[in-house]
Amino acid sequence: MPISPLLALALFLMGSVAGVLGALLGLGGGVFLVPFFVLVLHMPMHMAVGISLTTVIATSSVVSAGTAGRHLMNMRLGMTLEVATTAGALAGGIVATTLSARTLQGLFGIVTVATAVVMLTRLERRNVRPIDGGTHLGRLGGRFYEAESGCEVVYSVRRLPLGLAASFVAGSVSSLLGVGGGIIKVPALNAWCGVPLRAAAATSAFMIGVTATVGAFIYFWHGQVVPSIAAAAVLGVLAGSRAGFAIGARARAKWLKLLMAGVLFVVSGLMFMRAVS
Amino acid sequence: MSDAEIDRLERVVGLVLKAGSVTSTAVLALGLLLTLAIPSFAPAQTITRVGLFVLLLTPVSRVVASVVEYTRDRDWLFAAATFAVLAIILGSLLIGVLR
Repeated sequence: MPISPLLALALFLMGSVAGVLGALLGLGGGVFLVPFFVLVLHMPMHMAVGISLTTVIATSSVVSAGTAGRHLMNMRLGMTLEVATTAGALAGGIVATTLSARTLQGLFGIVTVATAVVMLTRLERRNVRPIDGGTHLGRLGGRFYEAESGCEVVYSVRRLPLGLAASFVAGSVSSLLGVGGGIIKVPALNAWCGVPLRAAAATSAFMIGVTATVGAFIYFWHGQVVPSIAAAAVLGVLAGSRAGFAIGARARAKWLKLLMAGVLFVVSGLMFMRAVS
Repeated sequence: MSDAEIDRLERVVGLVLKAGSVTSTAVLALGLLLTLAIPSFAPAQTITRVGLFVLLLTPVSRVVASVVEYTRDRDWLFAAATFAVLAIILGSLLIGVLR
């Protein structure tokens, strides 16, 4: 796929749209980017995944550089879980190179349906969690100041093995499908490990950069990450997520989630069709 | 680990991520624009490739920075965890070398 001004523009625009949607929903843009590339640009599946992983790295670095110093991301928890996400990413990346594009597209369809369902079940979930008194931080716990309630939220981490298992799965999915994997980690950390949603999202955003790097190296060595194509997509996603954060402050989360669940069902249907055609 | 040490680690990691993302974005943009403007100009592709490597090495650098910081604080458990992550990343690099 040689780069031309038209292709660069298309990649940049698709990256921007994926970046806006990703920032609005707190997902990476990858879940939208990979179908755009495969369905619209007819990019080979493995290449789409590899390119998407480079945009995940860019998003993670920019977002985490912004949240660093606010104690929102829990670095000790993040670095512990990263052992599992990177191991998963290594396994997923090695497996992905042996799978056919068709299998990967089918898997993508399954994961996007699951993503949409998770989103629908969490419609009424608010980002602010009531503070239970007397929580001990423990070795991995954390605390951060929450502007909405004007309180300091203190939490400890429960059921770490479950968090590690979810992280391993998220890491493999990241390498297999070119997504960040936050959609698996954030609900798991929140529901199973007792990490407040905001801290879980910030910690996940911090982890996906290193996770995607492991996958990106593997795809790169297989010649699937063309630098100029990656460049156009990365610049688009960064521009889009910047715009998304600006809009996100005003948009209504519930309608956004409903809309996106709808989009994900369509994307998933299209990827299934592509997988069986 | 004290609050001051956590603060310093967050600051160091934040700086590494900021420097890496700003540099890689600038170099990628330069490389892409040159590639599009002057397709026959060979160094343009090298510049884009360098930008991509800076992007890929940014999270790796912050893992290295964490290993250093945790070791400095004698927080051996987390030094070991971050070192394990580094080893796995090196594994994904080794796959390429072995191919």
